Amino acid sequence: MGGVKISNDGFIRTEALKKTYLMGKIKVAALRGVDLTVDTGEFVALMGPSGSGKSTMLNQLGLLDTPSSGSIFIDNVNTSKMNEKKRVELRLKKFGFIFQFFSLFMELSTIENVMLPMMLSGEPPRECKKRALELLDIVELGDRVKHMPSELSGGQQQRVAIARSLMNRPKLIFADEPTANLDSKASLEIINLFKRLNKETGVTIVMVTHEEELGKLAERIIRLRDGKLDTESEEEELTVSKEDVEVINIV
Amino acid sequence: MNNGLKWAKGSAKTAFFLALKDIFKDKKVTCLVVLMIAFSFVNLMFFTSFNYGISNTMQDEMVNTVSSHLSIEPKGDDETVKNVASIEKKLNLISGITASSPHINKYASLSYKGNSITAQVVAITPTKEEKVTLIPQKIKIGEFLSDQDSGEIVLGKNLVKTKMNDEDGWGMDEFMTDVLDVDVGEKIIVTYDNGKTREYHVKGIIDAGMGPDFNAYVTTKEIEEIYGQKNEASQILVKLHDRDSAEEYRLIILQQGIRGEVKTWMEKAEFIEKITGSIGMITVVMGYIGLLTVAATIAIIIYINTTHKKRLIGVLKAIGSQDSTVLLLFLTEAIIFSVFGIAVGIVLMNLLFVYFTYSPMTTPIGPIYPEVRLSLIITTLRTVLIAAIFSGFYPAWKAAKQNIIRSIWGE
Repeated sequence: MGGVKISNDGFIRTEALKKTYLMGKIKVAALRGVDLTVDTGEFVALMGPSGSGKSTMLNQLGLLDTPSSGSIFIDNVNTSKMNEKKRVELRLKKFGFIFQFFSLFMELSTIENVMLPMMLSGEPPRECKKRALELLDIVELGDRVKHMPSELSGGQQQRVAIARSLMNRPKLIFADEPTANLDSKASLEIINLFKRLNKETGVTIVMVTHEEELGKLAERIIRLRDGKLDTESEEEELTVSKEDVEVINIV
Repeated sequence: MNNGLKWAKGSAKTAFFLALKDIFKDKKVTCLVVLMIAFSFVNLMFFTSFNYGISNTMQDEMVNTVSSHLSIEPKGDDETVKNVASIEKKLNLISGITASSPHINKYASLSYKGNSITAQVVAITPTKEEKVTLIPQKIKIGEFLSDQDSGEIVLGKNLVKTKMNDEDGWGMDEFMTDVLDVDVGEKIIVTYDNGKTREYHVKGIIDAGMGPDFNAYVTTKEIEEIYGQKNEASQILVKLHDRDSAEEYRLIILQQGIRGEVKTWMEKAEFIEKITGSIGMITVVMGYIGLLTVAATIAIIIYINTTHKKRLIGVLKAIGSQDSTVLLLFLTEAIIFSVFGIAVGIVLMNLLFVYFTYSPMTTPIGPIYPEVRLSLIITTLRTVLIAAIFSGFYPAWKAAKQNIIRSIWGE
C-alpha cells in the first residue's frame, strides 16, 4: 500500500467546545471553548499537562461524552444534533478506540477479542474471522490468534486492541494514552504501528499522550493547557527518527 | 438485509456469545449457581408432586376400601336404603357398572377379657364385596369372611393390639387407649346397639390403610338375623368400569327412579382436597422461599459480574454496543444459568422418581408415589425462568445505563 495524502478538509472540527463537570457543588471547566481542526489522514497527538483537558477532548471527539456547549463536526456533520443511537452507530462503524489500560475481554481469545466490533455490526462469522486474521497479521500477532490475553505481554495486548479498533475499517482512531502502561520498547512499537497504519490505510489518528518524545512522532501536536488550545505546532513527519526516540528513552 | 435489522441481530448474537463465554470462564461458580437453581427447581417440583401423590393414594385408598366409585345412600329422613335386591337388579342391567355391594353399618361394643371398645360393625356379603372393594384382599392375619359364615368376625387392625402393628410400626394401638389384646382364633363378645349380644370367633385381621381399620366385619346374614331386617342397607357401593365417568353414572342411576342419594367418590374425596390443600400451602411457602434464595443468588452473581466488568462494559459501549446489548448480555447470563439449572433439576427429579417408584414412601394410608403433572412442570419451569429474569434485570439494567466515561475509569 502506498502513502495516503492528507486533505485539508477539516474532517474533525470543533467550534467553541466547552465541557464543565460538576464535582459536588463546584463547577470544573475541563474545556473552555476549543476550536480545532483535524484533516482526513492526519496523525495528531493531543498533548498537555495533567488536567489540561486532553482526555476530555478525546472523549468529546470520540462521542463518548456530550459537550456542555459548542459543536463537533465529523465529516461536516454536526454531531450535537445526533441522537444516541446514531452516535453509537458512528462509534461502531466509523471510529476505532484504543484505551490506556489493556481493554481486552479476558475470557475471549485474541481473535475473538478482535472480532467483536464486526460481530456487533452483524457481519457473518466467516467474514469476521477472515478480517481478524488479516489484522492480526498486520499487527504481527498472526501466531497468537488462539492465545488468551493473559498469555500476552502488555505490548501484545495493546496491539490486539489496535487490531480490534481497525475491524470495521474506521475512518478515525482515537487512542487515549495507548502507551501509558508499556515499557519504552513496546511504546515505540505501538507508535510505529500507528504511523504505519496511518500511512498505509490513511486512517486519521488522534492520540492523547503525555510523553513528549512519542508525541513528536505524530505529524502534528495539538497542545492543551487549562482547557484551552496552547500552541499548535505543525511538525514534519518523522522529524524525530526511530533511533532518536530510542536514545531519548535510554537517557 | 436491512442495516438496522443486521445491527440488531449482530448485537443479540454478540450478547449471547459474550454471555456464554463469561458463564464458562469460572466453571466452579457456574456449577454452584446451576446446582442452586436445580435444587430450587426440585424443591418446587418434588414436594408438590409428593402432595399430588398423597392425594392420589388417599383417593385410591378411599375408592378401594371405603366409597367405591358411587354410593347409594338413604335419602332425607330415611335411615336405610330400601328394596336393595331390586336396586341391585337395576344396577346389574346398566352397562358400565361392574358390581355392587350393600353395606349395613351398626354400632356395637366389642369385649374381650373384661376390656370393651366401641366400633362400627359393617355387614357385607363377601362375594359381592370382593368385586367392589379391596377389603377382602387386605386380610393380614387369618382369613376373610365367606358368605355362609355365622359367628365369625374380622377386625380392623386398629381395634386390636397385634404383633403386626408392632412390626410395621404404623399401628394406631399406641395412640388408642382402648384396644383389644385379642388374637385370631380367640373369641370376643359383641353387644349391638339393639341390646343383642353375640359371641364371635375372630377369623382375621385386616390392614386396609384407612377407615376400615377401625371397623369390624360380619356377614349380612348375621346382621339381618340380629336386627330382623331384610332387603335394607346403610349404603350400596357401586363399582364402575371407569372411575372418571362417576358423575355420568350418578345421573343414569338417578334416572332409574331409585330412592336414594347417589354420591360420587369425588364428593366423598373433598376432605382429601382440603387436607392436601393445607399441605400444598406449606409446600408453596417452602418452594417460594427456595425460589427467593435462587433469585437473590442470580441477582448477586449478575451484580458481581457487572461490577467486575465495569471497565469492559464501558469499552463495549465505546466500541459501538447499544445499552440494549449490555442489558441482553447480562439477562442472557441469568437465563442461561436458569436453563442449565432447570435441566439439571429435571435430571435430579427423574432420579428421585426412579428411586421412589421402587421404594415408595410407606404411610398409614398406603405407599406414596410422587406424581408429576405436565401443568406442574410448566408452572415450575415458568416460575424459575421468570424469577431468574426478574432478579437479573435490575443489575443488568444498571450496567446498561452506566455512563461510558465513568465505566471506562472503573468508577
